[in-house]
Amino acid sequence: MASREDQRLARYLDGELPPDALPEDLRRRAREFEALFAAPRAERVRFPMGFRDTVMRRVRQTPRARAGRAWQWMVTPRTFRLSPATVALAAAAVLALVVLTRPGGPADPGATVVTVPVVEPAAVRFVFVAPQAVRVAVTGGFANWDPDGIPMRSEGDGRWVAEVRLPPGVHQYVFVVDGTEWRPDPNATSQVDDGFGQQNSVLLVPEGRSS
Amino acid sequence: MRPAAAVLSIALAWGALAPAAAQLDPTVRDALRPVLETARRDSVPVEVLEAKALEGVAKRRPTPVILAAVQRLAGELRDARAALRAAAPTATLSAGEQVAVAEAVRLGTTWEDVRLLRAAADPGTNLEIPFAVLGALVERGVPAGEARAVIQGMVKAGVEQSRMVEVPARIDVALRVGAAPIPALNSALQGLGIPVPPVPVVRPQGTTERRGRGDS
Repeated sequence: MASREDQRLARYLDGELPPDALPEDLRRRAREFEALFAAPRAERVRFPMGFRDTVMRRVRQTPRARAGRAWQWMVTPRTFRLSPATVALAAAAVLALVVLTRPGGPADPGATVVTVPVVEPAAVRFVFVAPQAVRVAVTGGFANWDPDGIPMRSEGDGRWVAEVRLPPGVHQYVFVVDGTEWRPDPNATSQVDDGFGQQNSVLLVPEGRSS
Repeated sequence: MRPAAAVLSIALAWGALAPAAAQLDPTVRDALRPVLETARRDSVPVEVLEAKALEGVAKRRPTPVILAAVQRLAGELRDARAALRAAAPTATLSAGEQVAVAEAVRLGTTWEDVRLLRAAADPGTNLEIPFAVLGALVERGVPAGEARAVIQGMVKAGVEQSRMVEVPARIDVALRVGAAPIPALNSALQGLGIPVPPVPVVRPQGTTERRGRGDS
């Protein structure tokens, strides 16, 4: 803690007290301080000719950190001139990026990030018996439920056959007879309610199945 | 900025209705939009709902029927997702797995068995095929608890999916010759060489007897 004398000396040096407010011993110390402060002012340092230019040239030559340059670029006001078409293209690109990288909805809070394994489609052989049919197709989620679907070929004895390559997973399908009649596969693994009063057949394509 | 605003609107509209839905009739598409938006907010796989709508259009069903089918499916997928997430908070839930669960429940599997199977498996394991086989077993008369225990055993033992998917067809063979569902299941497991303990057969009196393989 500073002594009472030190505080008075400090107040004098700050110009808060006149010299005659100090006792003689403090006035002497004050003069010593004043002489000390005055010394640098009396002995001005003189630099050689061109010193300032040399220093500034060196400063300018020192490469600024990349982050610093980027920040400086960001905070410096600038004027951009863009055509509406350029702005539209940029906006479309950003939106396409957002839409294409979205897996099907907002981020799932509980989901973990995984690398989706590359899965090989497997060859699946559909067989349907319809002796009276003129044409038969197989359709399902894998064919966007197109009624024309994947045409099946007749084997002559009322059997219709189609080979399709499908990715592993669970697939729903039906056979479409003569373009109008939707029929489930009686030999399917399961039949499920299609939500429209009919049945869809279920096909299970396992992972690692030889194709 | 008008061109940019136009592009923004088009892109947002396109994003709200993904490519599959873009093939739909405008009437169906408009009716479907709020259902899809809600589904997307709930992380329900929207592409599955779009496929259901396409199916309804292809089958020439009226718009209200299509809308009802899509709404029902959305509810089932939402329930499936909730059950799976509750059982395995860190598991990766594929759309296929959620669909398989919804179908298995429709075929008679209980939500409790769904939770038990998901919780027992590794969070990184996709259970789409196991849940589908579970539904197929229940559809063939195997009680849900027993069916789930068998599937759980197969998943734990690392049985290849190619053998797992053969089980329902093998059961069908045994059922056709008059076997009851559980013996038919045990026969199928034995025939495929699947290393899962046979399911105990519960007799009408309530006594339980563990029968050896091949009793069907």
